Amino acid sequence: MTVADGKRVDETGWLENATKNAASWRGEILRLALIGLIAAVFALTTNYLRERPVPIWSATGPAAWRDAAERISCNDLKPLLKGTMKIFLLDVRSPQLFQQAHPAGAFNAPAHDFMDYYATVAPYLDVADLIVVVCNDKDCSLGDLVAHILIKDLKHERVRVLYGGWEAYKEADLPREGEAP
Amino acid sequence: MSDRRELVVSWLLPLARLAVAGVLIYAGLQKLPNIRAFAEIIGNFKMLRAESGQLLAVILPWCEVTTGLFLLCGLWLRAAGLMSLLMFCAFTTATGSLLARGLKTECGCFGTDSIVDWRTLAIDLAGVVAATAIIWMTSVRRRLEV
Repeated sequence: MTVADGKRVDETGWLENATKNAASWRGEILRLALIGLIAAVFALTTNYLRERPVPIWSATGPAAWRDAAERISCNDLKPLLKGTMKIFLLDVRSPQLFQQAHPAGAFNAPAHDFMDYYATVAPYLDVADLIVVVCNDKDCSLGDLVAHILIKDLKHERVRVLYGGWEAYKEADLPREGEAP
Repeated sequence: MSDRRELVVSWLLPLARLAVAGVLIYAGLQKLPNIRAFAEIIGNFKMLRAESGQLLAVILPWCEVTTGLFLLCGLWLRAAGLMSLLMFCAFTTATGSLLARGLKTECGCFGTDSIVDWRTLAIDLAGVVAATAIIWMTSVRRRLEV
């Protein structure tokens, strides 16, 4: 027993409490590890049973770093379309889909034959403040491909892929052309 | 004082538990059907090697669901709170890193939903606060019970 600041401090009691606390936290860490273990067992089992399991140990699997271009959301695009910036909308969907409906003022340059169309759109791309690549929906690997060509091979700066593609563009009710009334 | 604490804990703990459990279970279930897309999103973050990213993509949704279920059932509350705190801290770090690098990519928070922005960071920080509150309130409740 000691006396500190006029109060009696029971050192043995304090030590007991500290030991209890440490033991209790050790228990929590063990439980935490068990929760992680349960989750890992479920995760690895279900992944193994999947039709197309994620190849966990592959260096070229889906989580490998890709050259995904930066995205722009419809919310961010909306004010830009109304502003003074020269926005070039490059619709990389197929000509059939483009003819059905497309963003107002957009040019069509299908991703598969992009280089065939490039000569036609190049003068506009050169003077644009921002090039927005429009693909079909969220799964926009072709949009990424075109954006990659524009940035890396053709040295265009300020290229963005529209997040959500044409589907999101329609939902955001941005100006469109070619739709049947 | 202890009455007041008891009252706060008895009201706030279930609320925090349900909120965090709801967010975690929903987030996990949204990711589970398309783990490949989630792995691609993790790849776009450019923070982890492919192997670690894939392992995380496979395990994280189940971690969220399992932790959420523990919180919902009130089992191993402090451990589940710790687990959610760890996850929300990791989410906050990843989001902060993306924002700091100016990378505009999908968030992957609730499946393949939206682009990472300041709201994402705010949600993650709210998660950190709620998870910390769960741990703190569970400890207080234990002390009150003793």
